[in-house]
Amino acid sequence: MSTFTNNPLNKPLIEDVKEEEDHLEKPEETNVIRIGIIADTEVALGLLLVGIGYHHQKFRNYLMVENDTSLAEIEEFFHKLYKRPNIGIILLDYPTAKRLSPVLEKCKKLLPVVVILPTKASIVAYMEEKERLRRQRQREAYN
Amino acid sequence: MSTMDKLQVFPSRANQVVMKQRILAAKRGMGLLKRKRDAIDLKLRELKRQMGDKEEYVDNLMRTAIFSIAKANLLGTDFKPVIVAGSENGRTFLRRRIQKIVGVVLNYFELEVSEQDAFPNTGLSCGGQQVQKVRAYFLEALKEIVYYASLEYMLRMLTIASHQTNMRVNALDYVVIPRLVNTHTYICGELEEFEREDFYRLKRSQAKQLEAKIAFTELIRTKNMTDEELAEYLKRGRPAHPVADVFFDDDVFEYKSLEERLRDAYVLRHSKRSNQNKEKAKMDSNIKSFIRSVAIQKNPRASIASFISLSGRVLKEKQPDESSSSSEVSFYK
Repeated sequence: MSTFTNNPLNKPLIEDVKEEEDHLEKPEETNVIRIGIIADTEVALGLLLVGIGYHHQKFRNYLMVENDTSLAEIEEFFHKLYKRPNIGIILLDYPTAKRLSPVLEKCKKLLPVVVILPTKASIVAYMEEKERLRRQRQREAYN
Repeated sequence: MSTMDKLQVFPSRANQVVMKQRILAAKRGMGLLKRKRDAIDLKLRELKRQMGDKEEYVDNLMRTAIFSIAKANLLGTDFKPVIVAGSENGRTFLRRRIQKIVGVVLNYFELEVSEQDAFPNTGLSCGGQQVQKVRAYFLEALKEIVYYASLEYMLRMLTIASHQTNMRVNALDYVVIPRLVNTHTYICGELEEFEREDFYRLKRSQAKQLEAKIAFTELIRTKNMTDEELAEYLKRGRPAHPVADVFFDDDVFEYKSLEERLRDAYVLRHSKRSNQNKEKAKMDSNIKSFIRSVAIQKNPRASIASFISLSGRVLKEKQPDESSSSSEVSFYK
């Protein structure tokens, strides 16, 4: 994992996300929906390899998160993603989702859909939580 | 009944028919909406079940993908281009498609993948195969993630639709149909009321006509009777019919003597005037009243002659009331 925590080229992992919405965006087709990513390096890497990341002059739709990333930054990025009309899915990873849980509870819009993914470190906890939720749902279904 | 909830329409037969049709249409619509609501609920439950299954599958895939990338890291794959270079254009994206279920328009996502790989320079130095594997696994996982997100999206839209339909059903059931029914009963009531009113008017006018007829027949019968015959008739007891409270001018029937009476009245008026002027100085009030009472013995219900001699009529009316001597005096003046 050292190859990822040490940044060989000293490029900051978290890009400057405090820009305003750029009004110089090329208008895209209205039918095109994007996916937003807020996850740790590995998962984000994998997803970027598939090609869902993109960035314009002042905006990129992914954010790689580390343990020491400030909550404020993550929250701000999340709000930016959530407000954008052309983002349909936001992929969060489990520890980030836990950190953002108060924000997530306030999200009541129809779009975007928030999906929570596991990370390597948190797989066990993630699976346990899922089991718990599943059992709870089964219990509720019986009632 | 001002608190009754009804529409403001004019109570007519046409409106009654219209209201009835509206009630029928509303009831039919409510039945259809109920069926739609039940169908939506069924679909919702099905969706939820599907989502539960899908979630497990997605989790498994993600685990595989994460292990693949861990393995790639272990083997020292070169991921630098991904970190360093920013992707200009996202080649892989979603498209929003429309699907219609249970009469509800739903959107869902479809993943569109480009042929060209993003970050083609990744893994050139080391671990190219691993990079391909990572790409493959993540792509598979992403497909399922997109499917799962679509399900979630459809679920949200369906819940909204279900809520809306339920509200519509309730609105029809508890507001619209009672209002229409109330309007209908109101119109029926009003129409009945009109009928009753017409019926009452008709009956009353018939009754009055009957009264008039009976009084007339009576009058004809008793008109030429002498006093004795009248007494006999009265003793026998008149037939039990109500007397018309309409004033009948019986002198009108005596058309022949009408002109005679007119002449008499005219003469009388003039003579009266001259007499009055003469007697003014001589007579005192008592004698005057006595003469007056004796002079004119006419039917109080006077005929056309009375219109000509208005003074005569005034005189006649004063006949029973002989206490007001002052007014008589003033009259003579």
